[in-house]
Amino acid sequence: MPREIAILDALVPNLLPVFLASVVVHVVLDRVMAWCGVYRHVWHPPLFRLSCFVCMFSACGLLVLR
Amino acid sequence: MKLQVVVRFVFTIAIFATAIFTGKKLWDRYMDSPWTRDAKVRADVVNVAADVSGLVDRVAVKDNQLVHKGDLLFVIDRERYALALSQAKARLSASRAQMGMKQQEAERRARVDVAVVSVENRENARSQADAAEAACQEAAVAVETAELNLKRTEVRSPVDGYIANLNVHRGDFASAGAAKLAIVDKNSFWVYGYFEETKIRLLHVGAPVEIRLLASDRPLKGHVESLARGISDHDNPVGRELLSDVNPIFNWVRLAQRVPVRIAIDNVPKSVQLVAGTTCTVIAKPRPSPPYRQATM
Amino acid sequence: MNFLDGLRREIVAWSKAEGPRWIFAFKTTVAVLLALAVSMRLELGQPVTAMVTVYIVMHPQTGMVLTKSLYRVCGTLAGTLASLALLGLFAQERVLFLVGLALWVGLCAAGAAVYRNFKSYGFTLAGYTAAMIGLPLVMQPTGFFNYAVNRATEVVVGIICAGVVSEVVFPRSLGDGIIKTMEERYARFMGFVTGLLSKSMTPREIDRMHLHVASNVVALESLRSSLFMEASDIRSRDLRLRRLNMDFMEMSTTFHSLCQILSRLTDPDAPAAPALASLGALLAEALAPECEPASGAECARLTARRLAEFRVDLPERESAILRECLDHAGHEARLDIETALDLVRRFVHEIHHYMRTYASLMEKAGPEKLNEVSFASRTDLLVALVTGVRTATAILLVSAFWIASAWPYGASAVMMAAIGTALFAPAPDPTLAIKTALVGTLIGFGAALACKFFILTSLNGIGFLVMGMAPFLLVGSYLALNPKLAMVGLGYSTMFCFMVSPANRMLYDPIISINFGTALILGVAAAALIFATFAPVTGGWMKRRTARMLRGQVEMACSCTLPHLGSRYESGTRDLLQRVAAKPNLQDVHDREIVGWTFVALEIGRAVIHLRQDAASVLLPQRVSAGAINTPRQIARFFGRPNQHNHNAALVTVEETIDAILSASAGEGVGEETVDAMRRMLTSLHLIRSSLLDEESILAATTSRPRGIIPGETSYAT
Repeated sequence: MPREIAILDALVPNLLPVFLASVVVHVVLDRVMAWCGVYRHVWHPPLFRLSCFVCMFSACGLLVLR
Repeated sequence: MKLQVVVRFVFTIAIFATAIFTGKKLWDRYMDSPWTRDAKVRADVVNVAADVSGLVDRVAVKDNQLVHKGDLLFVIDRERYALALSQAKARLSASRAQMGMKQQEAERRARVDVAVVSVENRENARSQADAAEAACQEAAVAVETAELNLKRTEVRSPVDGYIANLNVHRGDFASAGAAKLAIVDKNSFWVYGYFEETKIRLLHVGAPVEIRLLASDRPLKGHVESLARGISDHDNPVGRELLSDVNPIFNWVRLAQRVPVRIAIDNVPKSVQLVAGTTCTVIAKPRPSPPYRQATM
Repeated sequence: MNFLDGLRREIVAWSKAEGPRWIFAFKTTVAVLLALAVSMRLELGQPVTAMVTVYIVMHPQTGMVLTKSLYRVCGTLAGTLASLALLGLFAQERVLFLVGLALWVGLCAAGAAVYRNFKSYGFTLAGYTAAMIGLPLVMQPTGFFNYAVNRATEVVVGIICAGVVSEVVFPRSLGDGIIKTMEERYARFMGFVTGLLSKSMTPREIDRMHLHVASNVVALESLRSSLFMEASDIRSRDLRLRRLNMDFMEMSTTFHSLCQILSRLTDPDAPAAPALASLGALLAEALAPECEPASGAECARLTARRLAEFRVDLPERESAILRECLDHAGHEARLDIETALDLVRRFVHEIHHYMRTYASLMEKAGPEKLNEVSFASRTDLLVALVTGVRTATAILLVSAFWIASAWPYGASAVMMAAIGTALFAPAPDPTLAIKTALVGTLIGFGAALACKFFILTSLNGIGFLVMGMAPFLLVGSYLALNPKLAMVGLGYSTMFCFMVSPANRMLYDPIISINFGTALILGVAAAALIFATFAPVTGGWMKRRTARMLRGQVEMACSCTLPHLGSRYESGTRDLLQRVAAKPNLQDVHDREIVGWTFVALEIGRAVIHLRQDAASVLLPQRVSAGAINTPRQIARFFGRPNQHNHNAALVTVEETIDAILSASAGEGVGEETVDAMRRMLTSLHLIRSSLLDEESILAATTSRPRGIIPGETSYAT
């Protein structure tokens, strides 16, 4: 896997698109979780949400940087 | 209710712990794995200069052309050096004649009785004959030099490689020793990777690396050839009077400097054109190194 | 023991009052220092950008931080692109570049004045980001890409730090805040209604409450609009929140009309007064909370049930009152009583609806289908334009001074002037805000010098850097939550960060620092000067414009197409009012005039809308429908040009229409439905008429003089 990617001829680290994609997925996931009422069953919703995001982003990042 | 509270708490903490764990992993992978996006392709560049001065008579190559060792590059006006050779030859003939005369003279005097020619006279004649012989030898060397100069009016390629920066044209005056063109040695490409000092410990001589050129999608294989053993100290330039001029300001955060690491390229596919000075990314495999392998090029 | 108890009580009281503030100050400082450390670790050029970003987006409530962050990213991107365009067009042409920059920032300031809340904030940012990125590069445009990428990265680092800290460390959810505000509002409004109906409030209190209630709707709506980023399940009830706010708005306007008409009927000679008073008392009794806490969902449902019972009995009571009065009441009094009863019926209906929505809000039920409801905002484009021109002028003036004097730090001054004008333009009172911010920058100047040259010089390493700066930052963050000193805090913090400008390679040069700081202060001062002199927002002109806009609202109510007009009209009017009500004190004559206009506009406008709706719902007799078309037209004319002649014309038309309806409903061959619609129209017309005739309202004060609104004492709010 390459470590960087050319966007409009500007080289950016691979993690940046991964981060943006994670943000988008997270926004959707967040909506779904709010709709299902997951946040009512956790102790610290913001921490939970942040942790979910970090998990997702890190997993994708590790996959990309294999 | 009690149980539910505990479950809620544990659930959140578990996710939080996972996040910390994977986040740390990603950070390590990104920040601490031995790779750098600051690497340059390098090659031996031969600066070709004429060995003799003179007007450029003919340029035999084009810019960026591939040349082989011994190929003619350009020719300097031969006439002056041909004349110089004739002159040297004439001098040689003259000194040879002189030498014959002196030798005959010396032989003659040696044969004559001491009563007729004094010992002194005879010895002088001998020495003059020796000197004439030496002068003759000198003239012979001068002829060889003139021949060499004449031969050197044809400038030939010292290596297999590509002409770069051809800056010589018919009618230019080429001074001896002034570089007129560069030849990039075709067989000498290597990569300088500038690794952060914190990552140096992860690199071993001989470790395989992957080289990704900015110019090509195909990764190249390579291995670590050697590590630089010194970089200059930015904070300590030498001031006047040879005393050091230490920067009075320190850094809040110590940032890693970069150390050049020389990487040999194992194999270049036909489709990949290497250009000295271009940028690439170098990713070293974190595994311990296999035995050192000679670059096959 | 006693002493310890007292001490504990003191501590508890202190932590209740001061605790949240200190927690906020602590959070902000942590976020700022985190942004600093991360930027340094990532080798970014100006960590100060990340620090200032944290200050700008930080807010006690998490949802606000996230929404602000989103708009800050958008604004930064737009600003970067704008500066790229400007640099591309006018590279190394300082004069043209500055003119272009002034136009851009002016345009953004105008945009910020047109929109509300965070959209306005995005415009502000787009404006001054262009200045921040463009100005240092005017003469070296080739450095643009690196510079812009660096600044954008710093902004993102700052945003992430602010977001994470505010989400994770002692979070205060906006959703909870909104629920709490809703509950408070419910309890307060119920108290207000019962207090007013049982006549235990002074007129001054009543006026204050009306104003508070009217502006509360818009404030809550703006809070709600930034809810969508927060980790809270209240988002699933978003539509219901909106509906609730809308219900509240309609109900409170009806209540205001009811109060007006009741206060006109309190004349003790009027025969209906005691009957109406007893009806009010009954209603107050039905509404009075009987359970604890009064704002709980359970209690709201109980009250709603009692109200439903009251509604069942209402027609009977009404007819009793009517019968009682009809014998010895004139034509006029009868109309008054019928209108009052109609309003009571409407109010009870609306409050019942509101209570049911309110009770269902507190339930943690799943999402529910509701009609889409929307809020409208009203902005005077001319005022927005003036704001833009004012901002552009400030930048041009400072730029002219820079170029004329060849001042080496001119670029910094221009930058600060751009930031100052853009940042403070949308504030309710920009002049005051920027003046207090100026005080803050002066304090920040001194603090930065002290910190940079006496403290930081003797420290070493990031840990000590953080410790050395923390106390100074803590002060600024603490001030930011104090309503009076918030701007001082913002000015102080920004100035402090800019001047200390911690970078990995520090530049300790007092002369440069002082020159730079002076340039920044002069920039802010220039902005303050322009705000105070160039068409000041608090001046009479602006207020006359606002009053004009309010009258325009009534014209809109008279002429626009009907669908959704009601909610658009009310929310727009309240939006205008909210800008006025945001001021700390309403002592000014102009302010009171505007408040007066708002209530008149709300009442008449709504009555006109109801009139038009009723008229459109059924087929009316010829004369009545002519009147129903004529009345809005005359009212619109009067509000467009309020003078005695138009006033009389409007009044005559209204009275003619009333007569037409009265004679038509007495006539034969009119359907049940039409009679009903005409009765409602009669109520609306009567409301309009009594508003037009009301001697205490702003209309009376206006029409008694020949032209427009004239500064001077008015008789409103006695």
